[in-house]
Amino acid sequence: MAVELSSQLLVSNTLSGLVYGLMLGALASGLTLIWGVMKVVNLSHGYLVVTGMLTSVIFYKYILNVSPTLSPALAFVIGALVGIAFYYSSLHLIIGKAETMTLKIEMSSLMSTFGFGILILGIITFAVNRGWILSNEGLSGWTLSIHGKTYLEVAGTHLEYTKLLGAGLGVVLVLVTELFLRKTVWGLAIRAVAEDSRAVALTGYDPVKVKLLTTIISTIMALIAGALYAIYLSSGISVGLESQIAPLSFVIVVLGGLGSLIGTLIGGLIIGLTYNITLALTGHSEISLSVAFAILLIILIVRPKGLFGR
Amino acid sequence: MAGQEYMLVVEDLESGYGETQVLFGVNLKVRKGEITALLGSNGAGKSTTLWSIMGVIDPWKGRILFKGEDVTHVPPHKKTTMGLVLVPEGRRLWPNLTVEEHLTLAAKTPRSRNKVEELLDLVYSLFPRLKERRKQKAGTLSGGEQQMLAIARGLMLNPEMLMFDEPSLGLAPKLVQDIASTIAKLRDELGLTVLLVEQNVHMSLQIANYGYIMENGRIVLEGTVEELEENPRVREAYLGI
Ligand SMILES: Nc1ncnc2c1ncn2[C@@H]1O[C@H](COP(=O)(O)OP(=O)(O)OP(=O)(O)O)[C@@H](O)[C@H]1O
Ligand SMILES: [Mg+2]
Repeated sequence: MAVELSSQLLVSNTLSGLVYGLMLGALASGLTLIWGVMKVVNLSHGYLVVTGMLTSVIFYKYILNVSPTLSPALAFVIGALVGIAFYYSSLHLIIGKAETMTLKIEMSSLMSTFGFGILILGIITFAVNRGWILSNEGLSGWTLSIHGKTYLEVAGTHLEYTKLLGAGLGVVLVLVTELFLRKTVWGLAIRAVAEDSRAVALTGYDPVKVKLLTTIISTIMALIAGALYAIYLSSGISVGLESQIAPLSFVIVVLGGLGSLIGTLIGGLIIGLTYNITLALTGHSEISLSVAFAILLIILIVRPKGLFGR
Repeated sequence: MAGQEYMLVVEDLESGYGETQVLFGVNLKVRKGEITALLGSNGAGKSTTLWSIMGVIDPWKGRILFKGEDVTHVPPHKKTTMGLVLVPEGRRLWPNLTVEEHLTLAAKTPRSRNKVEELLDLVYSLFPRLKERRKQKAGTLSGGEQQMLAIARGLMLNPEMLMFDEPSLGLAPKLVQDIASTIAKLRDELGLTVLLVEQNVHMSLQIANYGYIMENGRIVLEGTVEELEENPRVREAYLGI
């Protein structure tokens, strides 16, 4: 009887861990793009994701009062605007003209992206203090039900439709971006800048434009993934989530290999699974986080380029 | 009419890196439809000259005229779309992009967009090997194939003038001959203007019309190929005769 129970627990945590993992992969994907292409370790990534989450809440509560399923569209628009602001305020002067990263450039971009994150935090805190948006409110009152049920039952496990939708659209987001990078001219230019930006200039494209575009796409990805994460969570959405999203994203990006979107999905799956299973076994999220970092350490020793790194 | 005779004119060019001056007043002219060679030993400043002409390094002083127009401070991507194309030293390919992706990126620029088929035919007829390997990543090509791809990428930009920086570097003698005859073909059959930078003086003088010799950031000698071949200094220092 006890054996049966724990194996059921294992099955359900594996299934929910897979869904969680794909969601985490999508949340980290914007980070891997800007890191892989521009060698910028974007310390504001977690706050960009939070901005996306709040976008979803605002969309639902304050603007249209229609299903948050449509909020990624708003996240796209806001993401583009924030991306432009992010590039020109924090990156252009430091890496616009640079062809290779020196230690000085790397340090400066760490500082400036950190600063941009603090700026976002400040704006959100201000809005919350003014009572413009409520903290911790989430999408309460909204559920997704099909045929009167809010979950899908697989092998005795209840997988909520909101989670499946958030994670599923997250996978779509990553795959669409991957397709863009493979099949369009500007996608090619982005991949080329990642390897030799001077050669891109000699082929008739302005590397500064390509970097701006990379920043915009990366920011849009972070915001859309955030909007989807709001759908996934449905409740308990707050700025504080940044401290959970940011470290996990860094682990996943390094695990998957810098610049690899597919690697990020796989890395997300691995971390999502181990996170959920260790959480189920121990009941402590701190332990789960430690295990995630232990996996990172092992990867750094065994395969420093990450699973799909070049 | 005198301005029409030259595709490229470089006047009193001074340039360098950071605080270090490398070029001290370089003057050279490239006649339309000809191959002009810029020769010199290691560290003479040949590559620096090409980077400065392209605008990858912003010139400190002097003027650069392309088709009679002052382009001294025009950035490299704009010069490229004006028809001035550099095939850089060391090929500078993108290792994880395929042969086809290299050519596509170049083909989608404004000058080439409407002539893609024509340019592809040209490139694949010059380098049939690239067609065989079009799905292969550039990083997995042999040295010779990589040089072919670097030239092919330049040609896909539909240039009026091509600058080559040491295209023979690291290639076997047979391949050096192939590259040399390809460059001659571009002049003879397509009417392209070429500025050829080389350490391989034999190869260059075989196909060039005119030549400059550079030492320590200055042009020390210039003349037709015949004049250079006769010159005792060239014969001793560069041809080893
Ligand atoms: N990025 C750089 N920073 C500082 N100095 C440089 C740089 N690149 C080249 N130099 C210096 O400029 C001088 C000229 O170099 P350049 O590369 O133009 O010579 P070159 O004639 O092309 O030589 P080679 O035939 O070996 O390619 C050399 O003294 C070199 O050390
Ligand atoms: Mg050189």
